[in-house]
Amino acid sequence: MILELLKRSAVHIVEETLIPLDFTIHNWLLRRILRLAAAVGIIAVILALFLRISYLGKTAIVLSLLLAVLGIASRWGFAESLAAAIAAGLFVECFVAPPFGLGAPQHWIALSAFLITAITTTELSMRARRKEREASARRRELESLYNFSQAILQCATVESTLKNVVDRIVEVFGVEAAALYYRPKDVIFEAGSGCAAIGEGSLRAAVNAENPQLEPVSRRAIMPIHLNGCTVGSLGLTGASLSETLIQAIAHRVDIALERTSALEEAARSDAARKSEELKSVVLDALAHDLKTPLSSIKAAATSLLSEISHASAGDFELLCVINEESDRLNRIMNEAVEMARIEVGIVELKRLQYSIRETVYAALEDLNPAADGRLIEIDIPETLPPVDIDFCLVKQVFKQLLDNALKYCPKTSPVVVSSECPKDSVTVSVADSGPGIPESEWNRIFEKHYRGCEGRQGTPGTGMGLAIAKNIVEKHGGRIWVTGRPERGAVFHVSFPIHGARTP
Amino acid sequence: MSAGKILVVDDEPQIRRVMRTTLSKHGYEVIDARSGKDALARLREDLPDLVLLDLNLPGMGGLEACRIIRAGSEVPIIILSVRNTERDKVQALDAGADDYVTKPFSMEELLARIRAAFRRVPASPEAGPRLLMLEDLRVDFEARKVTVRDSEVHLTPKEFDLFRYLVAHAGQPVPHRKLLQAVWGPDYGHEVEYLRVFINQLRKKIEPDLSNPKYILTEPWIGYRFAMPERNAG
Repeated sequence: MILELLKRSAVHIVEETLIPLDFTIHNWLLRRILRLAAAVGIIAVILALFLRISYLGKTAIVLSLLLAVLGIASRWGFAESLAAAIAAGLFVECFVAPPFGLGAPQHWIALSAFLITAITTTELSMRARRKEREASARRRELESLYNFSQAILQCATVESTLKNVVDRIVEVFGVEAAALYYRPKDVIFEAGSGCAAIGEGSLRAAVNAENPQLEPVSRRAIMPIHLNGCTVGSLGLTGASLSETLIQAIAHRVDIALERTSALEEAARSDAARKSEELKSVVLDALAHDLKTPLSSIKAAATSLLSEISHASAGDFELLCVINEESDRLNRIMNEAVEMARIEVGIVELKRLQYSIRETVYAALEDLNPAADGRLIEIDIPETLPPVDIDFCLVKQVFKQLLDNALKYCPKTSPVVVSSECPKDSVTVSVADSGPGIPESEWNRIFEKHYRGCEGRQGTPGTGMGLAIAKNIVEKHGGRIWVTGRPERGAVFHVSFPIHGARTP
Repeated sequence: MSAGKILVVDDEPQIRRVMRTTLSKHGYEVIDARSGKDALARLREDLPDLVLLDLNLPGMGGLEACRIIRAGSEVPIIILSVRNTERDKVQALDAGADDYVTKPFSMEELLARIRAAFRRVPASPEAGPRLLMLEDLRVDFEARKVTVRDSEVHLTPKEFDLFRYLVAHAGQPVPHRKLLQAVWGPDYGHEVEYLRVFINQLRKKIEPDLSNPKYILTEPWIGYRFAMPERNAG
């Protein structure tokens, strides 16, 4: 038991010699020495008092001294209570010795009682004080954590949140420096002095680590930061001994704040995109309507006059035809311009389903109805061609454009040939005419807006936008459109679609 | 005696001018309205035989006006609109329109469509049975009366003509083009979406189970067929 007591006293001494942070060494020493002296002084005063009032008896003296040791032990600390106990033992030995005589066993018992009281009481009170210290530290941590969470949840953007995080960590947790590395933007936010101690390299490396890295010796901690379950950065602190639980709690709060602001940003972004698309759509509709309304009156008036042609002279008839045909042309140009604008600004959304390319080509052909003009079209597409993930209406329009072009440039007597190929992960359809062909120098340019072929392709009506629209539609599907030529024997347009629907983002 | 009274509903004065001039010249009596509300008032007071309706109207839109007109009248409605997507057409037909002409249009075409709208499929005895009596469906083709499960249902003229044509050719698939030309007129044939809308409306009124029709069947890629059950009295 004595051994156990001695062991504990050793622990207490070590504990007591740990200098609290808020004291300088000088102050602390002075205070301890003063308290030691006071402890011995109290014992001496009590003894002196009792010696003066001698009729109280020895038992009362010893009991009073014991109480004094108890009091000192519970109030001050181990060293003070030990000094008081020894002093009390010695005083009893020296001044209260008779009638037992020096070295009598009663004195040893008294000294032991003083010592045991001192050690046990200190032990108990130290334990209580330690508990209280821990509790208040925990409370302070929680308060700081709460303040920290409140402060970092008030930002609207990811960047301001991250900047705020480092500032608040320094402010709230009293660390020397904090630095945050955010990988998606490859930026480091710093606050406090001595960020160099955290080390840029360690921060960047920590992004790949799973758990926080705590280095109590250098008082540095680096922890990963997550967004939607992925590590997107790391937070480094230096100059404070925060507990591991607190550090993990901080990291968790940062994750939450980051998640929240990034969701906010995302919502704001998609809202803006949707609004802008709606606006574009409305503007295009209004434009089309405003342009077409006067055109409708012109065309209605012209065709009305044309229908009573018996009353008009041949010259009038010719002029009315010009008005009518040109209104049609204007209408076509406007339709294509609006269509082009819709596809270009992304208002057109693909409604993709698995369709047979063969059926799509036939549907385009049905719309054009070339047989009515006695034109020939040979279609060589096997029924076994795998289906592709396409927007039927838009792709039908592409084939209509290609077939229409081919019919325009192909001599009336020779057929337009449509064939297909199916290399491993795509379907390619080719439309070949036996017209004048397209010089190789123009193979890319004919898909540009408003580009009109020069040789042999002039004089045919068109807006020059059909192929640009077709290219746009095909590319929206993740496909490709291009032209080749059979020398002197016509042009071949190819359209290819991926089979597994490699969607464009 | 005019060829018919036509109500032109359009907020664009120039269109109204052209229409008034041309239609009058072709013997029609023309009244006009510049808004949906205006149109409903004219409809009540002047009782036109046909309505030409623009979709883009101030205030109450054309679609809404179309719905209101159809709810209280069988007058043929032809939509005139710059909107040219299939969705717009289907919406307008669903709202009760009989036909849809995209602006700008040729006057010849519009006149043909007006004539088609005035024309009724002749109810000659050869065209089919006069009376159709099935388990839960009774149709008197002469009185144009349809009774489904003991309650009378109301079919618009186009719906009725379409139904009569299908019944007259019961058991055989009628191709889209043939059906369109028979019911709308010889200038039609490509307007497959018209059939989709009108067949759907017919089914809603006649079929006991919409998801599994027993009378009006779809023949994929060809057209529609009226399936005559075994027990009938025609």
